Amino acid sequence: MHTSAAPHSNSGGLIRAAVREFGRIGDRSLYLCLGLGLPLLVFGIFTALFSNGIIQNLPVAVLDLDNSSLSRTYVRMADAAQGVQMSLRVRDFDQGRRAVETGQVHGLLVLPEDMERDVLRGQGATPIFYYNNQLLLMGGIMQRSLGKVGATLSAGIDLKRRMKTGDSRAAALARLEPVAVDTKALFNPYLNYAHYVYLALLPAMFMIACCVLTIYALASEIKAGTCGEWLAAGGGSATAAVLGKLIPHTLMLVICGGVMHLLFFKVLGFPFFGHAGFTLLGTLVFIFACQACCVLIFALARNMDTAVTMASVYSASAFAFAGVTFPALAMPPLAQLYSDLVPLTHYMVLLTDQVMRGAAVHYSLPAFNILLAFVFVCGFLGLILTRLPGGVFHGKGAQRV
Amino acid sequence: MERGPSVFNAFKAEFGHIFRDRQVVLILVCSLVFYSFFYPFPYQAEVVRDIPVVVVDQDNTALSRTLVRMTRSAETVRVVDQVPEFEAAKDWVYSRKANGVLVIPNEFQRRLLRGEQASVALYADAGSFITYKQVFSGIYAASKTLSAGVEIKRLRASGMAADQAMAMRDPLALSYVKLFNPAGGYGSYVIPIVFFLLLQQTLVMGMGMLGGTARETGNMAYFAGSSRGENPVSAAAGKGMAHFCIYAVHSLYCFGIMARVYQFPHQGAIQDEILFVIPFLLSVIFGSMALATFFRQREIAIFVAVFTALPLMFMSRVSWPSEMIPDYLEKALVFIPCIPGVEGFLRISAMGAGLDQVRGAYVTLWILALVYFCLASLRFWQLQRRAH
Repeated sequence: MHTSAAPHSNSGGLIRAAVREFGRIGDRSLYLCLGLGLPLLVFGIFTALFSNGIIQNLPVAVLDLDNSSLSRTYVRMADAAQGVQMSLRVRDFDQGRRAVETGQVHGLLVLPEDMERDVLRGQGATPIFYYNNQLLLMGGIMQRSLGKVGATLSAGIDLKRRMKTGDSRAAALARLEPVAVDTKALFNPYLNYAHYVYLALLPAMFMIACCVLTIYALASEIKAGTCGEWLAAGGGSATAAVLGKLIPHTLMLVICGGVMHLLFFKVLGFPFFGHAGFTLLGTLVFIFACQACCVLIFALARNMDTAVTMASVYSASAFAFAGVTFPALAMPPLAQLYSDLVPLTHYMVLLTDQVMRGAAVHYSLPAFNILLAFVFVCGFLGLILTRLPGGVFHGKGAQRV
Repeated sequence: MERGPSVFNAFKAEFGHIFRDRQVVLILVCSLVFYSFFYPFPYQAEVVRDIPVVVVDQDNTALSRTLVRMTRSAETVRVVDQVPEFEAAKDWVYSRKANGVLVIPNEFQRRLLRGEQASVALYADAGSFITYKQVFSGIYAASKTLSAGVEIKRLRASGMAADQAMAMRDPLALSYVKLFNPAGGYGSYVIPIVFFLLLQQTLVMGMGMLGGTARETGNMAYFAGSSRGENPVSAAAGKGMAHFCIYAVHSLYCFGIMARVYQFPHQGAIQDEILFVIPFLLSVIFGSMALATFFRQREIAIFVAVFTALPLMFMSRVSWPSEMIPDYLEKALVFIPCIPGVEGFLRISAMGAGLDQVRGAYVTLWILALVYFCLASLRFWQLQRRAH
């Protein structure tokens, strides 16, 4: 086997390595699990979790100490607000607090005694909303919904008073709030948290699949002690052996990535403004970038355990550092630097540019180029390292990189 | 072959298995210290400030400049540039150098002075929720301040006291009280979840590697505890005790030391926290032990842990409301210890609930521990029988 390598036909080695790998895939179901089964299963779970979309009707307890027509209106309007639902009436503050602690409700709205009287007298009253901010996302939603209710009622009362004094409606409105802010949410017009998390979670899982599959394919040769046989199939060329091996896996990952894009289209449901061809090309380069990083990890680790652990930590932590749920500019400088060393960070820029923002291609080119740089720099370094003394291919009849 | 109480034999032997395997030592004993710094690392800043915004001032009058000045002094945003045209501002946003655009239209001052309503437009990047919220609140605060200034001046001009004028403006001002996590930081919200996941996933990996290695190498004696013919129940109990000792120390490290380092909101009684963590650890340990018997190769343990971490993070009801999780998923999730674990523990530690208020989660964890213990013993018995 070792001597049958034909150094002059590099493409022959490439094909032989690929054919050999197809055989290995047929022998082990684990490959299909890592490249298709598990990621698609997780895609399905995320789809079930987030396709519901906008969060509504979070349960809130209400303590109405006033029991006036104004307070009843308040409760009715709060109940009708989209984000919250007045699901429980409590008799005293303690009961309300307990309901929050046990998780029965997420917040407690207290309407003070004499609220109506004070408002009619022009003194103003202060309802208080106690809420569980440990649930950060839900805290914000409840606050927004109830804030709107309060503001609407407030404005109504104020407006009425002013119109009584003879102002026209428009003038009263202008006096009420001289400077109005007309907010337009760019790129995610419905402020749908699910959409934006979904768009980030699938690529994060996809990166995990790319890395874990690649590292397992490479490092299992070390574990089985078949690096020599593998190199021989590649015609003695490390490049042909590695690239040939990755061809079948790339096919699997392309299918997985394609499903991901279909899900974006189906679940997110908003019109796709970006450049479809460029987005798909970006996804392909992202796959290559992850593979190249794993080739480098494989060459550095030189044993199964270390290789798998490094690739796992690298890919599983990518989401935390990608600056999606938490903006990169608020991270410590060292974390920002590290996040730049992870392909997912740049792929997310490209993806949100194209899928969400509908940005022109030239805005995403820097991210695309960085992904390309990952492919060449990590891939090249990794291949060189495999042949150096101590490398996995060293002394195994390697003829060239 | 040594004789003695078989639980104790299995206990001692498990330490031997752990410390003979370099990778397992790294995962079960050392990795938690590294992870406890690594994963929370991006979230050090509790509150996000200075989000870049661009201002388009088409009015360019004293009042519009006042608004720009107020925007500049807002804590949450930072004005990075002022451009004459909206098109130029768009470029800032598309190239990700700014997250919002404030447009002050022509006639802004004139409308205000005439007593009409003047509006400004805020285009905020809603592609990221934290930045959106900060941009919105910064600009909103600035415009409110200007609004209030203009309005209160008017009211006071008609001879009204300042506080009365304020009450007139907003007769039903809702005030908010954050019951827990008062700082509202992303870190103190996400890091406790990360810790629970780390405890669980490292156990799945470490114990899974031990079990996977035993099956890979055909060392079925591993599942029998120390020597052949041990009873599977004492083998499971002994192994479990060994891991419990290690993870009791880890839990102390996470919730005793690191919780102080990261300054989690802390309200609960320590004895309640300890009592709650015990069934959590037991259910994770026996769950991992049972799971490990299905791994035919040691690497599979790592793959399982890596693929499940992110979904579990988002399915722990803390990060996504349980009201939004489909029923069948929610039912399935009960079987994963970190889900009831995170929820119950946060209620105790961050919200000051007592054990009786989290009874549901607490009882669930004990039941899981028992069920998984039985399952692990059953699998040990099966594997031993198959080996003979």
